Amino acid sequence: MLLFRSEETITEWCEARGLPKRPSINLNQLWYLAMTWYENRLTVESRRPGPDEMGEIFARVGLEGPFWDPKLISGTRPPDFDEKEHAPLRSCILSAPFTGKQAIDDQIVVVVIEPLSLSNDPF
Amino acid sequence: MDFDTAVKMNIYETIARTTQAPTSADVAKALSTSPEEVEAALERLHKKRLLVPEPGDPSRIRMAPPFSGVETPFRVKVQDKIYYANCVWDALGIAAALQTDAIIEASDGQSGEPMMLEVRNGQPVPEECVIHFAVPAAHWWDDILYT
Repeated sequence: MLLFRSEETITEWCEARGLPKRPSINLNQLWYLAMTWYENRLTVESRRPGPDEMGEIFARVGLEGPFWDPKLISGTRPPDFDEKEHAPLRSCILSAPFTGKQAIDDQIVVVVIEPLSLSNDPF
Repeated sequence: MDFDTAVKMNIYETIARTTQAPTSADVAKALSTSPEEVEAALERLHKKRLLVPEPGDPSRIRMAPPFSGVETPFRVKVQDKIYYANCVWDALGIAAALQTDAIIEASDGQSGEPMMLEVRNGQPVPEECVIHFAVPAAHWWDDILYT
């Protein structure tokens, strides 16, 4: 996840990358998640919340629906679950000549080729 | 305490104290064991989604959430120390884990505008910002470095 000043810069970020705009949360919601995940992380008994707990934690700060359901990975998907909407991004090996657009399964991925950078930005 | 927990605790205590993630050799020395035994524990902890070894180098730790083993754009100042977080969630998580005030230096993901968040007395100081999740929760660990 990334930090933005406003919804407008999120929209610009998504449009620049051809990605769908997905849910965003506010600082107080994020602080609750950070406390819940990490408050006891330096203790012997600390552990990561399990899928059921994660769903409950998200719900406490109003984050509900398929996007926030960690159990969807286990195959318990609701009838109206949209596989395309929730599919993870995939990388691909480009074959020459590359035209700037390539189909992966039934997804269209637009790739911008830029000079190699040592930036820390994983995106 | 079992061996994997001892490895985990040594790693977290080392990062909290020094801000730097130890290598498998460092942990092995502290626990009087071999680096290979520690690396096997790191892999088990990775499967439990508690740690992420450096891709291609099992002797190093890339992520011990909320801490990053490498420098990132998310700098967290705690008194005179600088920690690095894996993302903005983890940046707040460092303040939560250390149970301390913190100043987080970050930037707008699109414009690059410098942004500062602060945790004071157990609460974030109000700041105009929003956090965007590009990956659904069920897929965060498909590629946690991307997430």
